Amino acid sequence: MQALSIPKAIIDEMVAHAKGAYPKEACGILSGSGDAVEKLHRMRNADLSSTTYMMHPDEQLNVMRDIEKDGKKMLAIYHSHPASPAYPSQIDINRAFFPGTDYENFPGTAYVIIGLAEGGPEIKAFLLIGKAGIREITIVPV
Amino acid sequence: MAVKVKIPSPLQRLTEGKEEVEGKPGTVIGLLNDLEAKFPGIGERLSEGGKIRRFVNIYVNEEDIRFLKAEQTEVKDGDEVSIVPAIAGGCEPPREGVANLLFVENH
Repeated sequence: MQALSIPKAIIDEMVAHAKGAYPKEACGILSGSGDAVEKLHRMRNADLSSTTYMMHPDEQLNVMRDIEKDGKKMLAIYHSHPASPAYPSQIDINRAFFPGTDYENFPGTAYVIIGLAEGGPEIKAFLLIGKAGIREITIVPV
Repeated sequence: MAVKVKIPSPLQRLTEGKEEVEGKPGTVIGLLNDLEAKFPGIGERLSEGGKIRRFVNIYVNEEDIRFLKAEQTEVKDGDEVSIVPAIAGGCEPPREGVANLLFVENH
């Protein structure tokens, strides 16, 4: 995946979700086909925290199953950084790998971060390349 | 009929690429110990000291075992156990020095 195309309405919804959850972190899933996002799935942050998130486990399973049933793919996982830039933190990277392994939990799935720090919101998308590498990919608003 | 166990993609390299394997009826922790015997290395990725690791979600028939009897949740022939990595992350907490500085400035 070189770029992620996201409908403008979905970008607006992500920002609204992030601002609405502020000062807590918001999280959700973007599904679609190829590199084109078609649907946003708002998720509850089970951590109810301003520095961490964990998707509510029941919602996560239901949404993942629904996406599969619809013949779509989980293209991206989004979350907000209420007070820091839109860049993956060490916690984001650590928790993107299966505990105790170097195996990515959801290979090929992008991470979209909405940063609400000074001057925000800024939205960026990344792919992980092993534990030491991050590659920013372009978000194409459509 | 055995218990159906769905393996997440990061652990499929430990199950010879299989997405689904057969599990032993009993309890969830017993089933994981049995999987470890068949697929060495899988058990330590899922549990530590008899407890499921924090960012691993295990569901029995789509019910999160945290809301059942956790590791002691019963699994029977025909049940489906899904192992799914939790989707989680976070941002760096404010550095202590910065927090202290703010504290000094505010007081």
